[in-house]
Amino acid sequence: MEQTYFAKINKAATAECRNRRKIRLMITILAVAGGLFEMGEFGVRNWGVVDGEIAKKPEFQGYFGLFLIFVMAFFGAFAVFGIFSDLTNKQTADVQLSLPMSAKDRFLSKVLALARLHLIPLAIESVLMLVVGAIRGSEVLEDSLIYLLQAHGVIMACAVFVDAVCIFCMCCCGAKAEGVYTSAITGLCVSLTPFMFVNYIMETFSGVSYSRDNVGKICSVFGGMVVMCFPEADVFTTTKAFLVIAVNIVMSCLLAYASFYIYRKRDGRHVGKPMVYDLFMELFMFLGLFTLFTMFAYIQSWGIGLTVAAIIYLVIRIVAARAKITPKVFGVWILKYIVSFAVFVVIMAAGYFTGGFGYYRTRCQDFDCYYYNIDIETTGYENGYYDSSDFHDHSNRYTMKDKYEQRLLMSHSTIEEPENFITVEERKAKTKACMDLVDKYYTLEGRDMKTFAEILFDGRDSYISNKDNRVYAHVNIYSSEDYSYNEYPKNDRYYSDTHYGVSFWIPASERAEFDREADEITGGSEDAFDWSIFDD
Amino acid sequence: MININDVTMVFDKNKGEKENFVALDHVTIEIPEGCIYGFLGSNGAGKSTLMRLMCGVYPCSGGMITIDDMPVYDNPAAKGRIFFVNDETIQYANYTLKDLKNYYASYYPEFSDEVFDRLTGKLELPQNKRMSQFSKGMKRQAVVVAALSCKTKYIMLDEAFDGLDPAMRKIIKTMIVDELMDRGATMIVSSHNVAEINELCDRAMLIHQGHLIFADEIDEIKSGFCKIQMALNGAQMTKEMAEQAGLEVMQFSRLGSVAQMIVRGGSEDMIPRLRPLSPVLLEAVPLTLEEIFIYELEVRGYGADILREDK
Repeated sequence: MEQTYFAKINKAATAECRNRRKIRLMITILAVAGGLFEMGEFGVRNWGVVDGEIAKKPEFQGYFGLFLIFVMAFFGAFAVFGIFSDLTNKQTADVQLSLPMSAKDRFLSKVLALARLHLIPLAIESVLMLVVGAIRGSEVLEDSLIYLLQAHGVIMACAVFVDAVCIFCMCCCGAKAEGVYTSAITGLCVSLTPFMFVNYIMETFSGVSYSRDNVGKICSVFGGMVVMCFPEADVFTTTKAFLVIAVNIVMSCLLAYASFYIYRKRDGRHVGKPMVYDLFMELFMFLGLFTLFTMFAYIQSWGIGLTVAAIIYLVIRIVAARAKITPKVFGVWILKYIVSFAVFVVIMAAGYFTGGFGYYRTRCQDFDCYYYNIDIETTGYENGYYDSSDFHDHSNRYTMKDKYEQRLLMSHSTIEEPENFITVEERKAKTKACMDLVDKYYTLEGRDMKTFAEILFDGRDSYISNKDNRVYAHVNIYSSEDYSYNEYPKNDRYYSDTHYGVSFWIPASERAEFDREADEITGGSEDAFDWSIFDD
Repeated sequence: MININDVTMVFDKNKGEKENFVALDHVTIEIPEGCIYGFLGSNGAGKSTLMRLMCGVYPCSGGMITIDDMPVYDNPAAKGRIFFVNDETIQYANYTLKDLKNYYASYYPEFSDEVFDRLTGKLELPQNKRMSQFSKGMKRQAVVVAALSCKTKYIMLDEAFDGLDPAMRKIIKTMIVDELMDRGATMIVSSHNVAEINELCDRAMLIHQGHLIFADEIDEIKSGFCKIQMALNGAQMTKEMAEQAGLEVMQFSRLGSVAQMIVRGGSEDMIPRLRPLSPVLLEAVPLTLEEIFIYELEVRGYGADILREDK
């Protein structure tokens, strides 16, 4: 019975594919051209010296092939718009909805057709690339396969995301134009908004910036931000990258699964209506505006930003309306725009008063590293002048003598002998003391609407304003991590330095005590200086 | 049998409209097996909507449609017994005949390659040309051939013959009737051409503004109306006099002293009612289906405003 059912779905998918010859041809051309370029561009190059031997690393020496494959991933949109045309074309709906299939059968057959037109060719291209990569990268076979799998995993995740978003938007729209532009905008917003939310709202309002923290990176599970998992991006370890890619694909599949329920609810009556569901329209508009507002808040261009956002918003409303627009309708649109902006401000305010939705509690963890530096600074304002105190540890304190010596051997350049080493215990104690200092002085007290407005509308550097009774404190820990060349690409320490920074206000009356404790922790020097305000 | 039981179809109002649109209002029809059933109605009466309900494109807002006792909406088993040819062929523009055959063969397990090849060969339809290059008549022929090849028990043709020349209409009709007679299938056809329905169908229904006016065998329908010509000696026959005699007058006109009436009911019942008026002329003339169509709609005011404005 099951086999018979699958045979039925498969036959319907075949019929659907036969009608999409042009898109299949285009996808095939992109797959072949991209694959050929990729094969030529992939290779192994010398990367460093480990234990006196040359270490090699797989990589692409050009990206045109990958670019074509990415274009192929985005071509899934055209496949979706064709396959799901029963949702937007009355004649096609008449034919397909009268066929002896239930809504579930039709949806499954269409998804299968999409897989056969778009995802399977992409998968075949990836497998062929792995075979060629295994040959061309045979010197570092495992590394090459992992590298290619990671790169092609990212492309596959993008392809699945494009397909899922387009299916979802097509299911919510009854006209092709709406299906197309809502897909493009929703895809962008789903990819960008979580990333901007974390990187702008949470970090700005908490004052915390921590390169080892995964909150921002986790945004890669949303849509197109999966490109952060690309091997050359150096954001994730290989294991984490595969995990993020898998989660990203699962989330896209869930979106497609949710689309099924919308598809099932639809019938011939909805075909031709620009927006089938008002809720989708409102959510879509709000998501788009929220993304735009966040962008304009980030680049601090509210005058232009609000105007551009309003124009885009109204154009979409007018296009989607299709009918006579009365002054009342226009007024409602303007009102909704204002409400969207108000909701955005409320969310931002919530972020501000909760310290970036609790992100201000993020603290630096101890970890193995080469260099270790602490810098604590306070800036106050008095009588028209800013005065700043900067407490810092000795520069470039090496924490791991054996690693340092190993690095000396490996390096072609000269590394200066450090002034002094710091023991692991001492380093741990210093980190803890720093975090205790932050715990003691960083509270959310004293946050007010005036400061919030300054941050939102004047930018994140708004602390350079009159704060007679308060002092701005910064605590920074910089470190360079343990280089493990010979474990590429599976290690988790081959790339970046770590920075933890936290900025917050303290009462001016507590400054002396704060500075004293900072001095104790760093045990180093203090640079104090004043400067005049630049009056505009 | 197709059972349309108290079916109502309401389209939600669009933005700017004040009320929902009732396309069908409590329509009940039974379509028996093995007949050719004609759907008649004015433009926008609800014929196409009813057909779309019958093949599962729309769900009913109220009531139920069953095909051989199976509800049709979202039911592959019921929909497998019906084939719907709508009034457009644009959706097949990129298909060749082979594509069309493969497409429907994928969905209908009973699809007959033999019937498809035989009929397309008989009609001399080009096999490798895209249907966008076909004439309108050829497109219609191709779709009707596909419909017949699917071998479904019921075939619905929505204005399938409209826009075709008389020769082409005859060819297609003959082809359909020949194929359907062979296997006792049922055809439901909608058309504005009442004469065509009269000629082709065993049964018909008339619908206007979503309301069913009548549904019966065509002979029964015809016997339910008659045209009476009547003249009185030395007096003018009036509509009121006819109504007082117990006639339901749908149209009344006079030429000189001769009155002409379209009345509801058979001539054998109506003529005796008028005899007490001692007419010098009294005769009944049978009505064509087209006349019934026009008079029924006129009674309901269809086109009356336009005619009044013209006058």
